[in-house]
Amino acid sequence: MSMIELHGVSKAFRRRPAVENLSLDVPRGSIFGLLGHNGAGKSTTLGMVLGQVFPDTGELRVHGFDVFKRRSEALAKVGAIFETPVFYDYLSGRHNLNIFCDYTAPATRDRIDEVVELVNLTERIDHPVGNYSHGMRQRLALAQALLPDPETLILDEPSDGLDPQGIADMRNLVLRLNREYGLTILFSSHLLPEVQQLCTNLGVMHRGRLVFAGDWADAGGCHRYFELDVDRRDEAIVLLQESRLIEGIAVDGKLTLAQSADTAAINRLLVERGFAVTGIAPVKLSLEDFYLQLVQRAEGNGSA
Amino acid sequence: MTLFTRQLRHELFKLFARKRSYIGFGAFLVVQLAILLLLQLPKPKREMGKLLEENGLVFEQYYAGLTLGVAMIVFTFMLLGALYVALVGGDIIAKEVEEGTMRMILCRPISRLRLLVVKMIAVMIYTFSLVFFLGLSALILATIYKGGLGKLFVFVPELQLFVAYDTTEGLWRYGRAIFFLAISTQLIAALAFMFSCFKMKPAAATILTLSVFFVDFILTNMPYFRSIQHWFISHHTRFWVNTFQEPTPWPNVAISIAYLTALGFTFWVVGALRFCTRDLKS
Repeated sequence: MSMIELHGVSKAFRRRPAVENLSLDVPRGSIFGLLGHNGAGKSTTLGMVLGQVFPDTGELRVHGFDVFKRRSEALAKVGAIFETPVFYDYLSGRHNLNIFCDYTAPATRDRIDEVVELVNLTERIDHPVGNYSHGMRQRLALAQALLPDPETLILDEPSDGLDPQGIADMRNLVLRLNREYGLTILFSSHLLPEVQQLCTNLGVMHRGRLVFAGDWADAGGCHRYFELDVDRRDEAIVLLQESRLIEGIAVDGKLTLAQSADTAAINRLLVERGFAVTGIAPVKLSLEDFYLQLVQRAEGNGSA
Repeated sequence: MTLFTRQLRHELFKLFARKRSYIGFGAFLVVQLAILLLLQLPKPKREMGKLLEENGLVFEQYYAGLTLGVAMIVFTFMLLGALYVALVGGDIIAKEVEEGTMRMILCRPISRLRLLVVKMIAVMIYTFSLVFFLGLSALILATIYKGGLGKLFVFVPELQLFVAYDTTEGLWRYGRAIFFLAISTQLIAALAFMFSCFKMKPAAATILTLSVFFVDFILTNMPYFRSIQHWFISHHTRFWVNTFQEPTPWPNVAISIAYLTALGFTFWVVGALRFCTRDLKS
């Protein structure tokens, strides 16, 4: 079952498209990473999921409810935090939590204490938020997101501005929430290592378009790459393209296998045509290579 | 406690826990003291004494707490009242949007309309408390300074208002006028609230509100527009002064209250329509 569904969603700001025809499914229990450059449309997408940004076209459903027609049901079991967590600095952390809870679902003192302990903020919860570090604010934001006992968490650049320890703590907490509490998590990031370490599913956005969506197996296997050491490499590549055994040249000169091809067939053809093949080895692309290749391809499509 | 009263309590707490919300209260006290001292200078005392005695009234009986309290309110409110109400009304939405707390609030499944209702009520309560504070502090300061309430004398030539009351009637009229001043001030709050719902900085909402009122005030007082004066806001916001008239012109008071209420509600609806349809993004 999908916890979050987007169908054909588009949004433009002053005629400049921010999100174009976006369709996305976030499966229950997954950690879905939305990856993209700054300005790719990630935050706008999350804003629309939370009903804060109105789409021009398309449909958004959270927990099966339309976000704009049945907002209270859609967001009843959703918690969210943003890249820069903001609170009322002149009030204590506890008072802030009380305020945010009382907008919809008041929390008991015990429940607040329980969540505050989970995010490791017990000692400072009664201090004014103005004295908190960025990491503490981020943990307080996570506490407010967890208070309504959510089934889905939406995190917009959760590690932005955190120090390495803070990033590791946030990562471990997110993993724990997913594994121990069964929360579905949709998060956006432009940090590749974070996405790689956290998410089970991946969506890559570029200039408002979703250029990839799938799980890790899709990300690693939808294109098969290999390195080829051969004399007269340029001629060999032309031959392989004409024979429809490769789709093209990927990042760093790696070659992309065509759907029905394999490296044995390539080796056989090249040897038959008199090429001296000294090496042919399948390569698993790193996320960075994969991401850059997607972006490169999207740029190619965009300019074509 | 219902969810609504919890939300309202928090809105009021947020408003009153902020230092800048008290600037208005502090500034009023300072200006009131200054005006009180200025009214003790020989020239204003001499002129008022002459006016009272020409009309058969005893200067010492009237130049006391109640009369000075009204004078202090008129001058203080003209100088600062609109500014501080516009400041708080202009902040109430725009500041939260600017700082990002609005996005945090709207992560929750609360409707924007309900949020606006809660916030508008909080602004109205703040406005009432600011005006009541103004009325009470003016009366207390003047009474302490002059050693008693005395009798009430109000003279406003532009409104052809010249009245004198004994202490009991004067005190009743004074309290009633403060109540009506608080009602009339709600319009400033509503206009600032409306601008605050648009995509603009809090300071811009405040400045726009004050600009509208200053322009309106100038137009109201231009002889050229006298025939259509009743369409201007300032013509109606000063109705509270007319409640000192004897007999009280209730039909005119009712018309002004109806006009201000309708206009205030219109401002609120325009603001709500804009806020409920706008994108909130960092």
